[in-house]
Amino acid sequence: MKDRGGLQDSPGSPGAEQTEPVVPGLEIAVSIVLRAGVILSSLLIAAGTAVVLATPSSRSSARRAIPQLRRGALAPTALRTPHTLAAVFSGVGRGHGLAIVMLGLLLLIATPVLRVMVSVVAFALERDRRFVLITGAVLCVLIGSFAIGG
Amino acid sequence: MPVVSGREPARLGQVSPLELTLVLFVIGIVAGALGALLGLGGGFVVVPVLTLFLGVNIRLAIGTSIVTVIATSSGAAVAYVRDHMANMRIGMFLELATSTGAVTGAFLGSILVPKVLYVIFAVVLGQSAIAVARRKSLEDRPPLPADAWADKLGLHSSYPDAARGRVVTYHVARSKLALALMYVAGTMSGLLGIGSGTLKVPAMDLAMGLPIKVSTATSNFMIGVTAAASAGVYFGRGDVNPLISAPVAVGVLIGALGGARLLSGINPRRLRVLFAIVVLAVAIDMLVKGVS
Repeated sequence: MKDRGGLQDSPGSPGAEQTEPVVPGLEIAVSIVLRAGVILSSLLIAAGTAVVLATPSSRSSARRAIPQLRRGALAPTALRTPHTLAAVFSGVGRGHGLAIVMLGLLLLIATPVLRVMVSVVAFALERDRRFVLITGAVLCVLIGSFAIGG
Repeated sequence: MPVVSGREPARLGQVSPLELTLVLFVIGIVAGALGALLGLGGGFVVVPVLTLFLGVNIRLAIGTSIVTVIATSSGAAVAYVRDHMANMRIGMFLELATSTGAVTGAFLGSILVPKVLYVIFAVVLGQSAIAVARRKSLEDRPPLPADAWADKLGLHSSYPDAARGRVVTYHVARSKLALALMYVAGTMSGLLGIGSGTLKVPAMDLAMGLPIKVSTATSNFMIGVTAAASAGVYFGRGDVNPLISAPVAVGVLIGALGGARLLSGINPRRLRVLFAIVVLAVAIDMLVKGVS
């Protein structure tokens, strides 16, 4: 490749040949991750919502919470929905509908992060150093933001 | 009976949990289909509908929106990636800027008061509508010279155009300008809980010279990562509320899957006009709300 670089390219379009392959396995892997994450999270969200609506105690606390969701309500966090990892997991363990919903929402938020992880690995396998750096940097920003936000 | 201001109907005080879930589910389906069709995250429908029509708190609306934006993007991206419509290299390169911007925006969001959010929302949407409406049609535009970064990173590509029945090759220009615009787009996404496809599509389209279908699909592909960068912050803050977010997210997902299928057969000119009209109407509505 070193000595013969460029010799095999067609004279008209030197760039086109190089840029065509976009990591063959990557598109499939990304599709699978996105689909699996989206399907699983939406099932969790739907199941959790069904549990909330089917459980009399959850339903009545939801009924009380609804008026607080309106514009001008001062403290949305007063709704006491689990929004830390620990609260979500302990709630899921006790079969709480809202916690199951929150777990589904967390998984949905994590799906693009998983997609970026898959991309880093795929580009590493392809030895595409520039894109390993690019996708790796994006992954750092994402994980960093989760750490800051939580 | 909850106390509400005189001109504000107490809609949320009157519905049962089941009714709320069903209404939000239908809103989600419509938002998802429109969002995927127009290359937007769906947030431009979710935030205005929740705040203007249902009277939901704008921070909860933004928290819901940022999650549904991920659902739209991921749901639609499955189809685009499979159809080779999205340029994943361009998407991942520009995500450097959008994710950093999103973190910036999420922090700004905790400082600004809601009225300011309404006004910024309106300005962002209005600007997008005007930029897209004024643009020359794709066929008349002279091609931009490809830039060195795009060459090195291998960003040039091609896509199958169903309307014209052939594969269209394109070259990428002005990558650095696009990167700067994407940082702004990411900030707006994190601040307003929108996918900011309204900024991403024009940025790729105008700066990089991409065909509208490629910029639409690539925008959808990037939006999920951009949104995830700020969604963690909203989640930790408690602004992702399960009663609102759950039905909207599932609805959006279903709507987005349908919308992505429609896109490959649609005329780009018609898509652009529809995009401009819808976005402008929403912008005016939000501006009125923010100023009054």
